[in-house]
Amino acid sequence: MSEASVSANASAPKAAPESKEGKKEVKHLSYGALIARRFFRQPSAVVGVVLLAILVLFALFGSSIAQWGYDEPDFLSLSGAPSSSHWLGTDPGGSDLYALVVHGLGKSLLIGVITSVATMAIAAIYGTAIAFFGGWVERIGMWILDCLLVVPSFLLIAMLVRAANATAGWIWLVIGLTAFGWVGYARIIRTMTLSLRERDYVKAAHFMGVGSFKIILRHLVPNLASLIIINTVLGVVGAVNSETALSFLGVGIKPPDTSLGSILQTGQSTIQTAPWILLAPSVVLILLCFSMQLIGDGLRDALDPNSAAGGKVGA
Amino acid sequence: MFRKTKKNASPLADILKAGNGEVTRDEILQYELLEGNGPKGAPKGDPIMQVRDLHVSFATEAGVCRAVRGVNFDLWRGRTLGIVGESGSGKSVTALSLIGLLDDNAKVTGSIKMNGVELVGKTDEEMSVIRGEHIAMVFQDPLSALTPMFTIGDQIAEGLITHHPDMSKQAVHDRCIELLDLVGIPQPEERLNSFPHQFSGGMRQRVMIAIAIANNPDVIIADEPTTALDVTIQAQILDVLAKAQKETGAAVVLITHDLGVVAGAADDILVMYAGRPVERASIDDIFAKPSMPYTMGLLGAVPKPHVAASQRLVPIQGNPPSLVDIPAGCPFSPRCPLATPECSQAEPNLEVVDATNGHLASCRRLNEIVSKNMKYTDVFPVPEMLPAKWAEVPRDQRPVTLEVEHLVKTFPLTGGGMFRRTIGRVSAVDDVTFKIRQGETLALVGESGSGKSTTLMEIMNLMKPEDGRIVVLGHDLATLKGRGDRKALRKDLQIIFQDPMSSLDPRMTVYDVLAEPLKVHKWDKEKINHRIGELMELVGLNPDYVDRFPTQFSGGQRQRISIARALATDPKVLLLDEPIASLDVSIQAGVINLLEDLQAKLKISYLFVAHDLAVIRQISDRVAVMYLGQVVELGETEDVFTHPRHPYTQALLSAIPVPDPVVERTRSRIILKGDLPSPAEHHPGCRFASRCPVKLTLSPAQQQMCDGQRPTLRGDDQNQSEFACHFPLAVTAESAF
Repeated sequence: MSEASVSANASAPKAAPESKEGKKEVKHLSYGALIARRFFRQPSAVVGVVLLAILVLFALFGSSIAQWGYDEPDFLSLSGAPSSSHWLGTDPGGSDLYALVVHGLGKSLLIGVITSVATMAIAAIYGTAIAFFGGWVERIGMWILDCLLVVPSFLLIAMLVRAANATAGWIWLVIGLTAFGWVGYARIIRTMTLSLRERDYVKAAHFMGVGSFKIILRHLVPNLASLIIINTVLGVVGAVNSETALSFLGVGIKPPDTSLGSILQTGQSTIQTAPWILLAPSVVLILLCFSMQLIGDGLRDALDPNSAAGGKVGA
Repeated sequence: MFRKTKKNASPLADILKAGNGEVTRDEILQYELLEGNGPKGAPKGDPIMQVRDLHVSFATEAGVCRAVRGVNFDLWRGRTLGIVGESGSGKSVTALSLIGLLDDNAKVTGSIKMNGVELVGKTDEEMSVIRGEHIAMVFQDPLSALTPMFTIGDQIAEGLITHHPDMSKQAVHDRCIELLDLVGIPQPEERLNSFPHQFSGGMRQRVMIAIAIANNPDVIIADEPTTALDVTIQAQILDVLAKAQKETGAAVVLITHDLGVVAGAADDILVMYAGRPVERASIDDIFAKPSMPYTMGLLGAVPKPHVAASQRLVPIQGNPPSLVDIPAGCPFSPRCPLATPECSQAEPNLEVVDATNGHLASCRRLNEIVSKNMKYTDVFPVPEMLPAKWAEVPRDQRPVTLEVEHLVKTFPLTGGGMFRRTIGRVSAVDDVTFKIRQGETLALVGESGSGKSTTLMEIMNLMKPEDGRIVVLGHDLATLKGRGDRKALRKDLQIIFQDPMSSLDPRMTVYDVLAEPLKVHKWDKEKINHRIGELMELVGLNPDYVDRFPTQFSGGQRQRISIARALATDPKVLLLDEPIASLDVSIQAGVINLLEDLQAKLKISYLFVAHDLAVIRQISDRVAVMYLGQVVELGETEDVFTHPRHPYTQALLSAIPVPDPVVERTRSRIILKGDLPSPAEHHPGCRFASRCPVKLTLSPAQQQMCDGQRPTLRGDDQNQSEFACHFPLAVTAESAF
């Protein structure tokens, strides 16, 4: 979805009100501006954006006001409760939780967003392309999808990440999650495209001489936008979950690097004695998911021409 | 459980049958008893059903939708009441409220009395005793009205057994056969065990009628019974409906938007607009002396198939109001050329136009209209005549823009299984030939499945055809090389689709829709901006609306946007695939006029595909009639309409309903037997031979020629038309229309 709106943005002229010709010249609002206007009309979407912005700013600049680095353990305070020197307490290893959460949120966001966007982008383009071209392209494309579905992805990702070193581990995690995550979505999108490609406006574009790739980007992908957006949003949450699961098994993010998932994993073993370790990362994770959900709903309504935004044309 | 309901409600059924003798004798009934200007004269006796002050409203998210606002009418056995109106005028809701099939969120007030028994306020359970037994319904879409899981026999029997549980198996069986025979289904005994998918649309509609009349109902409601059918099938179904009415003696409510259909089938007419009856009279009065401006407009806007297009159609400005937000005063006043400021003050009621034959109309300026004897040409401004088409350059000297010769297109018929083996071929297009010159309109006519749309797609694809030749603006498609050539040609060849809902991308604003073809041809931004403003004005839309999405426009406006998009690159040839079939009558006229104006201004050639012959007579210069993939007749519109040479053309023409009751009654119809044969069958001879009425009159040797030898297009010296028939009809002094 993102690349589609970007391309529409780029191709639509940036508001051209040079009305020299008088009434024949039309006032035109670019597609991007129009979508933005419809998006920000919805209070819940604005709340989502504000929440996400706060989280992102927190992840980016939170460390500058911290007293400790995430990789500087305080051996005098193991599993310490929140105090003036450790605002959110410390974990059993003595690391400052505030610093851990800031760093972990950044890592989780990065993994979640990159994985989800990349997954949906590949799925959307692959799915619509094989459905649009049909014939042999479709048959071979479906055959590849079917083959990929039977690959044991979890095991392969674990092996990939294990083989990498600690600092590049998260990149390999993203690559692994993306490489095996898009297959299911591509199948769904192909099925939806099968009915879209028979629409008259797709035929009309073809008969105007619009290129195949442009038809896919301008007509097919945007018309699947609500599906793609919802899946992207849920995909962020899903990717964070996968990352957590892998970290829990010890094959995800490796120390000293950290993520929300690995903090949670530390916290769940000390839930009786030091519940604050679980509290902070959970709250941040929930806020992250909640904001993504609100943004997803807002975007869907903004992109959907049938939604309540905007009136009727008279006569 | 089922028996119990039967027992509980049986007193009601008895009362209904006997009637409690109460008849509301009011002014409405008095006037209706005077309506005598129809084929059956004035109604006699007491009405079987009386509807008084019926209001139906729905609570929707957008607000209260007042679908029906004060409808009154009476039904007599053996008479047909036609309810006419555009989509959203409340006619279907009126019908559904009679039979109690409205949604739960509908609020119905007023009175519907059947034999004096009040039906409004009855529970669904009580109504189910009446439904099917006393009131029956024929729905619009026969494809979805029958359950695919049960045989035809089961579905007819169901209606019988529900209301007569004591009927013996044999009696039910016999009655089913009798009914199928009555509605004209051949071999009823065997067809009883067939499933709905084994029947064609027309056959299914016959079965629907059979189910409707199974219990000899008193009232049959037919909601657009022929709208989904082809014109030759429509003629058959209207015939069956008339026969069913004669057989059961039921009162029929015929709901339609097609003025031609009511002209031939109804006795009384109720015209509805925005949920209210605006005019009511007997059939001849409505057509001869329409008195409400809306009725006049509707009659003026409809193309007439039986007269040459000497005059332009008169469109009604604007769109019907939304039922959620009905304007104050007369709902038609925003569109009415006679409207004065007073018209938007209060809504007028039905007033007397002519007391002697019960003609009523609701208009504030009725007195003026009646005393001045105003016609629709006095009320609506008639658009200027087009400049004479061939004035500058005669037709023969104009360049040919599109030429199709012996075009063939087949689709493979694949079997199941893993390898999808080709087990046969369906020839969708088989021998299509025509030629279009600059600034000319050629209409391609035929029933559904005759290959019209496939022909268009073959032209638009710009690929070498399977067989035959397509030449676009002098370029033979077989010689085109590569994408670049095709793209260059696409600038001059554009298409407009039938459904403006699906031909515009809902995600794009009007600006982007119109800019798309221009961007393909590398126009710069400023030129595009300028051109879009020009296009919006050309098709009569306000250029300020370019930032709206297509869904915010009405059907007619959307079709104008499609036209603007097609015209963006200034094409020389425009293909139109049923461009007005999905629009209301009053909107249609505006689009037809726009297309005519554009042609006169821009000298474009149109290839106009349609199944509506009336529209074709209005707009086209030449006609090509298609039957099962073949062009069977090709000639000047006037020649084809007045002196058809191919028997199929003749049958097609005689099946068109004419919006004039007097003409309609005196016409003789050639009703074709059966349906279009399957295109998968191989026909060595004439494809029309199986249904041809002329073939039956020939000698055996000649019949053999029809069956064994394929006719091709040829002409003779009787007139200019070409035809694919071994034994063409002679040109006589008397014209077919």
